[in-house]
Amino acid sequence: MLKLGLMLLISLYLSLLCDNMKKQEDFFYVCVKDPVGLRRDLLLSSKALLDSLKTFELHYSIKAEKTKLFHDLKKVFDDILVLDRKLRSVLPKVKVPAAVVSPVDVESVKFEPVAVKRSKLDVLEDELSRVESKLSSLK
Amino acid sequence: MNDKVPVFVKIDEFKDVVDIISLMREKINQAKFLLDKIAEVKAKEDAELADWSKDLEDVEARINAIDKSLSKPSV
Repeated sequence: MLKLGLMLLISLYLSLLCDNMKKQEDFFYVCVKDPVGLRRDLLLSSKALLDSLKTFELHYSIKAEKTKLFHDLKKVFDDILVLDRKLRSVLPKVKVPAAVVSPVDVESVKFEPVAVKRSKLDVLEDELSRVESKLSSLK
Repeated sequence: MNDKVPVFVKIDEFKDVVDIISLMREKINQAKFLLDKIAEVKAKEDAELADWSKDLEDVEARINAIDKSLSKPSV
């Protein structure tokens, strides 16, 4: 009985040893010739990425500054536009010949529904076309 | 209508015109200053982008070197 138990124990130990050897065979060892260089490369990569992340934070402040500058510039352009209108209103009105408009066949024109709400861009385009028509009549 | 006909401006309105033109000149100078500042900021942004691009290239080169040394080891 004791002999049988001992044999079982030995076979169990041998099977465990075999399993362990099989596991060790699964490993793959790579020779790293320059481990210090490799480690340095890794650390330098981390450093470069961290530096980039740091400059990202700086970039946000630059972006905010740029947005503010654009906002200020838009305000100045609006002021100039207002002053320009004022100047035109102060200067004497000079009658300019009306631009020649070619007659349009009314029936051929299809009317499409017009959006009620006009954007600022539409207003500016209208004003631009008005100024351009005045300019063309001056030529 | 003749384009060369002189236009006479009433003296009080002329003062308004001068004031408005002076204000417009001031605003134009402000706009020029702001445009210069925007150009500066844009140059800063471009420099940052160039830096990021360079950093990324460096990291890529290092990762390639590490990958090469691990996946194609010399015997």
